[in-house]
Amino acid sequence: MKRASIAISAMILLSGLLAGCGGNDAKTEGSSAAQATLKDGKYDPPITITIAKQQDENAGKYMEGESLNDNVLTRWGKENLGIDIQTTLLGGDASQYNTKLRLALTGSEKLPDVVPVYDTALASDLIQSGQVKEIGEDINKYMPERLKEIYKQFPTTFNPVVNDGKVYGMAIAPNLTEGEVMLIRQDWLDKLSLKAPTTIEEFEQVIAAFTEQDPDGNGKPDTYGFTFSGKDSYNTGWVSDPVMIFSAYTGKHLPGSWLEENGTLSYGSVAEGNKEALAKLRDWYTKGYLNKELATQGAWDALADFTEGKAGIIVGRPWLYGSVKDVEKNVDGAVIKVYPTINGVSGDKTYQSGQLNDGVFMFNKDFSNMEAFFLYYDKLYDAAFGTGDFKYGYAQGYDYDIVNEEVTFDPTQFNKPLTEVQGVGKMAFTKNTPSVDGAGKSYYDLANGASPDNGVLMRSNALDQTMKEGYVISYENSDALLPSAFNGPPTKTMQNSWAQLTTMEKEVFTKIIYSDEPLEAYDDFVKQWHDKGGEQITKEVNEWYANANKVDFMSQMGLK
Amino acid sequence: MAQLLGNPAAREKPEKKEKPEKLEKPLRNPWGKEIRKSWPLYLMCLPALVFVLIFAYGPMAGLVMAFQDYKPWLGMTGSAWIGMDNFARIFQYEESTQAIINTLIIAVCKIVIGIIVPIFMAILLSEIRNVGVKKSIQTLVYLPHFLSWVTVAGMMIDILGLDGGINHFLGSVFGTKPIFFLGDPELFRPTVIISDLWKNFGFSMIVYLATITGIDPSYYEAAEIDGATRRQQIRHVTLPSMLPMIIVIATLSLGSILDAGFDQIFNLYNPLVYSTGDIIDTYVYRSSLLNGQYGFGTAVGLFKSGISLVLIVISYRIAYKLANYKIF
Repeated sequence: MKRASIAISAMILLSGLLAGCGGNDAKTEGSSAAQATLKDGKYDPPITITIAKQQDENAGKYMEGESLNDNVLTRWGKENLGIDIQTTLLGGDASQYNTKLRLALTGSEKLPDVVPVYDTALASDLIQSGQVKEIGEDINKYMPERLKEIYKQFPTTFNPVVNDGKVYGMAIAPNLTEGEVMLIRQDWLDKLSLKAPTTIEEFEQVIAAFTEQDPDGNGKPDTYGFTFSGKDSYNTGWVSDPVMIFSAYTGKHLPGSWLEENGTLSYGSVAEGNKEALAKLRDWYTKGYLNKELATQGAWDALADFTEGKAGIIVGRPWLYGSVKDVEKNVDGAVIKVYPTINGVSGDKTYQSGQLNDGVFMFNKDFSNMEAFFLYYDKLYDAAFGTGDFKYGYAQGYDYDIVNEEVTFDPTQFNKPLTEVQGVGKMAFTKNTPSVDGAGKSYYDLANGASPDNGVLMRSNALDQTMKEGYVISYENSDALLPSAFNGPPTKTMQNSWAQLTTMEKEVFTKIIYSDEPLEAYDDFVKQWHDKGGEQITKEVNEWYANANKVDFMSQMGLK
Repeated sequence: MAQLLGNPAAREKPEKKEKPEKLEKPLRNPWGKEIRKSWPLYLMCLPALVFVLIFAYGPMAGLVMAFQDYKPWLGMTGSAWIGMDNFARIFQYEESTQAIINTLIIAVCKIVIGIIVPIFMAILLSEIRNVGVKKSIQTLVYLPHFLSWVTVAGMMIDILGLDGGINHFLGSVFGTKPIFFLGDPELFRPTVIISDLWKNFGFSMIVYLATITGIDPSYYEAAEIDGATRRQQIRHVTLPSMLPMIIVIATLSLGSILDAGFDQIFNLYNPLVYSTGDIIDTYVYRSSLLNGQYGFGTAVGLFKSGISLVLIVISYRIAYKLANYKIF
């Protein structure tokens, strides 16, 4: 009796162990249903498209009773388009998702029909493995006109997915993301009778005054001018970075970014002017104008000093106002105002890194329903254009509601109040809701008298006034946004040496600012950078660029 | 466990028994009878054995990737062999060798201090008579072990900052200038080692406390009769009785000689202290930001395991030679 129970429990344990190792070979049904036809914008019989999904913290929340494969958007797709979206490969965070895609590369998981890829090395691996589809012709044939108009504006987004002139993917909802603006304590400016700075000299005067003339009037030298982070990067591109100061001296060469000039790419951190910028920052640091702990604080930590009323200036995207506006509550009389970034020493404006897309769509080589994909994708854009079914948002009661004939986006005011709006736009194949708002166009339109009559404009209109002003500035200066010209997979030498070079770069830059190394260390850095692989990498990056652009794929796809 | 291992009689017994048995029936298969007699026990072992085979030994086949330019779609059989290139990369630049040196220094200090301090504390605690005080101290020093490094590092950056609590205290009491604990290459290693000690010594102490509790009271009684003072009792009874456990812990911790604590360093370091604070794991982490370098990652892992194996074997031998003590 006792022996038998031991035996049984051992067998159960063992079978449990082995069951876990079993492959998932059961689910291999093809997705291309037999001869589905498109009638009046709807597939009959319905077809299924399988997708891969990286579910970030915002996308994974569903109403009670709804789930990944059965929610308001998937039901809408089935009913209105005859397209059933099934997520068959799901990853939580980026690394887990990428691991799953890599497993799909080895053949131990099936690659779904539509695969969003957020990693350039992985995209390149997928192309080399021959498991993804060439889609140039499909884009030409099936992409709706209004989407073509969007993709036409961003030819560089195709570079990472072009190989030998063939196109293996397309950017996910490309759109020029808003740029950075300067947030200043207006009450401090007023108290010291200063104007917002527009040049590097004025900037220096202002941060000197913020540090030395006791702008908060408490009689203690506990304030300073400018806070930013130097822990991870001097060019975060979103918040707490000093890239404006670098660009004032280097122009379009931004630290950590590649610039294309006359068909040649060069790396920003080793360009002319960086030394002058570092000299300036070093001088300011010594005089106490900057965040003393910028080396140990990440981008998000560096804004605390601004929120606490210790720092007077911070740079970031317009929504940064929402994160630091507590200072207006915490400190009596505090007022934040947004200004454009300063001009460079040459008189030209200062530039910033721009962002065009997060990831690319790729497709299983056996996927034959590109027309259906584009039909669905185009519909998702309705919310961005404020047209069709999605004029105000994707689903009433989920991401907007109409209460007393008024459209509201405040989830607590819904007919059935929610704590948070549902990210319906994230429930199909995009991680972020598609947008055509270019660096802040809707805000610009509103500021110029457009009436808020669709979802996009209404949403924009509902923001804080200061933030809206920030977006208008961002839109007006959108030509200052320079996406890095190198957006391909890491080159051969990069794989070996890039960590080396960036380590050296961060160390030298930070030590110069902290006066731990003489300013001349920069010249030495530039020399070493070239010797230790930088030169070879520059060559390889240029080869990649030439290769990506040797065929005019844009015309082939009808995107010219 | 300590008791069982530490008792010489318990170790010698099986050896004596085995020999005569083997002499009696040398050619018969001893397995058949043994299995018939106690097959349920073997069956109970089977799941664990299968588990180890699948999850520990199976993946070892993947080590060949360390010698390949591995491409997932080509697999381990199809990828190109590149010899020792991946290993050469570990030593390619002065920065990477510096990272190895940093790792060794930080790890060795952590191991040594991480053994001495808990022993010391355990002895001190065991001398406390009041059970309430003893238990509450034990719990208090034990708690930080359960905080994640992300949290602790966040607090440390605040407390150790130029405007932080420690500097405020030093400034107002001693009038010193603010010290940049996390931004000074010379202070970074001590900061890391001490904070690691603070976080973990309470946890390591538990094992030693258990060992002390398990010491036969008659030894102390005998010592007392012989007129030994408390200090002499510690020196001649407590410490020798703890020795086997100390050796076990020391030997096992040598296996982590190349683990200087990724979580901790990653959350605390910054470009100013790369020269003394960058360790192998953080260095590899930054390299592998350019994803998909399977071969290199495997090579680093294999390198670390290799060094650890060598060190464990050596220290095992030393422990046997010096203390005549066998762990396995």
